[in-house]
Amino acid sequence: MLVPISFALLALLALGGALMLLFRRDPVDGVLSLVVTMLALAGIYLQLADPVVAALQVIVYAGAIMVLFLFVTMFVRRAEERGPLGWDRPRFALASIVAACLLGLLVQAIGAFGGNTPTHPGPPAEIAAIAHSLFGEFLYPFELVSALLLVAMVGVVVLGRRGEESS
Amino acid sequence: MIGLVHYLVFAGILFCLGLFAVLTRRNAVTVLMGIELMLNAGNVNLVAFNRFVGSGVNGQIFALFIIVLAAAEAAVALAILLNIYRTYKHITVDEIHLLRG
Repeated sequence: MLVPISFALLALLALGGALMLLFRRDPVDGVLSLVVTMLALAGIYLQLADPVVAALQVIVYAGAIMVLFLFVTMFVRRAEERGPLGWDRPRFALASIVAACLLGLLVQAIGAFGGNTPTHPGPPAEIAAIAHSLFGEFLYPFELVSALLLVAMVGVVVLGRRGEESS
Repeated sequence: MIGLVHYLVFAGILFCLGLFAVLTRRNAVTVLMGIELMLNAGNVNLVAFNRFVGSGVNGQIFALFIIVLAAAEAAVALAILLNIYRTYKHITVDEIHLLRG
């Protein structure tokens, strides 16, 4: 009984944060509501017996990435971005249709697929198993990701540098 | 009891909300946040499938990789946004057409 209630609460919290992102004009509100979504998702990962991804979700997503978003948002925010959201009607209608169609297709696919899925989870994975897999089977992708992070870091430093020709 | 289907539907709704943000919002930072939302929906799917269907830890490993890739993507995209802001003094995606032919 406890699990369904906590899942419902966490899912509502996550979807509420996402809706706040959609319907608030001020991007700072959007970042803060997205932090709520990320923390709720960490709770859902914990519920799925996955403490490693949950911890990284809090540290990397809710911590690092969202703080980066917050800084950049505050750099580029303009005063007229407060107040109510002015919707562009044709765009709103088109986007609603696209998103609703996609959701319908997804739910239909999940329903068609859901007949033969287990409803009871297997045993939770050990953290040691994740470490063995990450540093054994997935060693090359792991090293590639570290190279990618280095490239991204150098790229960001180059991009962030003020060009000589600009004032 | 909460089954795999509940998690999948939840992730689908989250993905569509992210898609909606990407399609409707004109502030480039909000568009990026919509993309983050979609990546997170994919992550929920990976972890849920790993818990209910898979037997190993592959789903969790993929989720970890996606978190790292999202961090790299966000850093590069936000650096590009700051450069755009330096040039245009705004980041409204409709009005940025320097590369239009």
